[in-house]
Amino acid sequence: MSEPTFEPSSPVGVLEPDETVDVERPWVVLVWNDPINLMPYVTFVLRKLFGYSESKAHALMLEVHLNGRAAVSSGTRESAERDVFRLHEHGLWATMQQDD
Amino acid sequence: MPDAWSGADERDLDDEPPWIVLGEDDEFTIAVPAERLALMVARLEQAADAFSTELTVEVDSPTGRRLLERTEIARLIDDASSTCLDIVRHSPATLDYLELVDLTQSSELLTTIWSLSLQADDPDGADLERELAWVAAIGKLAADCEDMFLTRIRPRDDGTFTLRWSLVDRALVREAIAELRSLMSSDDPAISRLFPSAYGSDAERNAGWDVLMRGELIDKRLAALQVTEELMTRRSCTEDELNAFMRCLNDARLVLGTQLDVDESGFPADPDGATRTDRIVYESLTHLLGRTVEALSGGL
Repeated sequence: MSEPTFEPSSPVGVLEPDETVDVERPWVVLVWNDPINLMPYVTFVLRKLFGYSESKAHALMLEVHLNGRAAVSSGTRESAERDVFRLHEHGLWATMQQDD
Repeated sequence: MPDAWSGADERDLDDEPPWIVLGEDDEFTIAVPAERLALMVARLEQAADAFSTELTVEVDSPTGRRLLERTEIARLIDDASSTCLDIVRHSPATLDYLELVDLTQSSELLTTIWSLSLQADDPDGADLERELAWVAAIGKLAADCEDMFLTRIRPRDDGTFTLRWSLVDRALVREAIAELRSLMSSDDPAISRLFPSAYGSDAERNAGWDVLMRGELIDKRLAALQVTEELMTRRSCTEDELNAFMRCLNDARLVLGTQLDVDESGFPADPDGATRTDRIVYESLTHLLGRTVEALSGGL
C-alpha cells in the first residue's frame, strides 16, 4: 500500500550537536496511552506506518493500553523524529528519548 | 484507550437490490418491485384489522411498564400503515429526507409488530407462507430505509474505494471540519492535543520541536481537511484520500473528546445533559472512524 509522503522541509535537526549526548545510543520512539484514540485505530496506524504484522501491532497497542506506553521504533535521531512526526500527524501521543 | 466503536457491522444485503437509493441530487428514490408492491399495498390497507388477537406490547409509562390496550396497538399500526401506504403506493417515487425518516420509523414499527404477531399466532401452511412473505416485505422496506442512514465505504479491486455518505454523516462531518478548521491555528486548549510534545519533560527541546514542526503539522492537517471536504461530494476515492479522511476524523474526535473530558471510563457525569449533543456527535464520529479503519485495514 502507499505510504503518506514525508518530506521534511529541512533536515530535521531539532537539537544542536550536544557534546553531552552519546550519539551511539539509539533513539527510542514511545507511544503513550490516551483515553480517546481507539484501539483498532492505534493498531492500524502502527501497521501502516511501520509495516508491522497485525499481531505485532496489536501486541504493541495492548502494551500501550495496559502499561501506559510502548516503544514502537528505534534508530537514529533523524529516523526517530520522522516517526514521531508521523505519529503526531495521526493523532497519537508519541515522544522520543535516547535509549538507556 | 477505548476498545472499539459501538454499533453493528454493516448488515448483509439481501439478494434483492435495494428498494431505496440515494440519487445525485440527495433525493431518495423508492421503487418496490411490482409483485411485492401489490402485496404490501393490500396488507397496509387492512393492517390495523389483521394483527394477532394474542399480541401484547409492553411500553414504558410514567408509572412503569404497562401493556398497550388493543385499541392503542391498532392506532399505532393504523398511523404507521397510513404513512407507509402514502409513500409505497406511489412507487416508484422520490422522497425527501423527512419523508424517509417517517417511512423508516413506520416500517420499523410494523416490522416489529408483525414479527411479534406472527410468533403469537404461530400459523401454518398457506397462512404461514402468506404471513412470512408480508413480514419479509415490510422488513426489507425497513432495512433498506435504515440503510440510507448508514455511510458505506467499500474497497474495490483496483485499490480505490466506493463511498456513499448518509446525509446525517455528511452534515456531521462538514460541521466537524468547520469547527476543526476554525480551531486549527487558535490557542484553544483542546487543539493542543493535536500537537503533543516530542521530548517528554525537556522543555527546551520541546520548544525547538514546536518551532520546527507545528507549522508543518498544521499544513498537513489543513490539507487533510481540504481532502475531507472534497470527499463529501464524491462517490469514490483513492486510498491516500481515505487515509486523509481518517486522520481528519480522528483529529475531530481528539479535539471534541478533550473538550468533553473523556477519560478511560468514557464521559464524565453530566446530570443536566448539557453536553448531550456533543456526546452524540462524538459517538457518531467514533462510529464513522471505525468504518473507515475497517475499510482501510483490508489493504494492509
